[in-house]
Amino acid sequence: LFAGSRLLKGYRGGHVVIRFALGGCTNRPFFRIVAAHSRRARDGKYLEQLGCLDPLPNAHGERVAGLNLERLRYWLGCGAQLSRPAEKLLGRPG
Amino acid sequence: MAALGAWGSAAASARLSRAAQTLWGWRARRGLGQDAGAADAERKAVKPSFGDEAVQNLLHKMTGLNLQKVFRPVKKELKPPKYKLMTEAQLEEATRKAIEEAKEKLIMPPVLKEREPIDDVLAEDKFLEGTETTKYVFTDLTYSIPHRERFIVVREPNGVLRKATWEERDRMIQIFFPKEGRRVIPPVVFKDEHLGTVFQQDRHEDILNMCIAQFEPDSPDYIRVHHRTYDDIEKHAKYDLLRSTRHFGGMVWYLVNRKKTDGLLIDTIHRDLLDDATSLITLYHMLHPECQSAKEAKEGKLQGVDLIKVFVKTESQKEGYIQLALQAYEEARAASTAS
Repeated sequence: LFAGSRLLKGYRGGHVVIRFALGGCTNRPFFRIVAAHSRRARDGKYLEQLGCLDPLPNAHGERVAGLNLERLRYWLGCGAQLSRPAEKLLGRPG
Repeated sequence: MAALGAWGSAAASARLSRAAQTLWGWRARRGLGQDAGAADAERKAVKPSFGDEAVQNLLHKMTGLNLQKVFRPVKKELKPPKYKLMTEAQLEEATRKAIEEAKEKLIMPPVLKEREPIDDVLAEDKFLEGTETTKYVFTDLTYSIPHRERFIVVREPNGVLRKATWEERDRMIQIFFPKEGRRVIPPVVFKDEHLGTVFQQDRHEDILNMCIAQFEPDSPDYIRVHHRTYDDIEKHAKYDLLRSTRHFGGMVWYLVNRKKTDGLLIDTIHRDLLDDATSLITLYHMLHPECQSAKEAKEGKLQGVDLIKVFVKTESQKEGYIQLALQAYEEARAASTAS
């Protein structure tokens, strides 16, 4: 699995993390919750997208987040680690 | 406004099969389950519900099958009409297929009770109070879960974790799993003051199609818009607008439940549709079996015009009008048989 992304990059070490990838325009962030190798660029090639988070509140004053729970369980079962903000986000809905 | 109406009806007819599958799927689970439960509970006072076969047959017969209106050309790009040369047999085949398709288009959307507001607190964590300023809405994006069973929770700034209300649920599901013909925020047309304008333009069918596309069948908005439309149609006696559409059954159900059937009865007799009038009265008897005309009808086993006369004597408010209409119909029939 670690040499799974055989197209181009092969590393030494590194593990799967679930973290946020930043996207969107100037002054308009948008995070995608993503399972990727820890050695990859923040916004680079990921293994799977597991959801998204819009940090700016919308017209109803909510911050919308979507989580693909089934795939999250799979990756956590495979032994993925979580970044700090990802832990905080996943801790909120309990 | 015209563009909106045309697009709404085109989209509605285009994705009818998908909507029918989703709607009918859980209607079968919920509606029939409720009926079975009720029937088991009280054997005597079993009120027939919208989904019963007999009721559906009656409503379907009354809807009529005006092929011209069902397949009325939806506004699309202009193309020159295509002419085909067919034999008699091929023409019959084509008409038969057209009737099948029309029957599919006339499947009635379900009529359900209003849904209960969700009010379930999952956790209260006081230590989270004051850590953030806005609500967080979390949606479960697993693809294979039906929308009804999705987890959509809201974490408020005061630390309370609760299930999302129905409106929030509909919005989130539309954001992540967009359905054609729906908007994230319901259009302004569905507010009461704007419904009046729509009714003045005689576009009841379009607004009902848009309503079906936008709302779930058991949301209070859907029910409110439908009731408003039916009331307006009944006030102005514009029953013919819905006659060959799939909304006709719902309208008849609503009117019969509230016993406002007189206008519809007059309209059917004026158009010489006696079968429709008799099925309307049979439906009325099925739903209100304790009224006097129902008992008399069961004793006498009346058919046709007699049934209408008994009904008119006992139940209706506008007796005079219906008597007049009946007389006119009988005179016309006598004149036609004589000549």
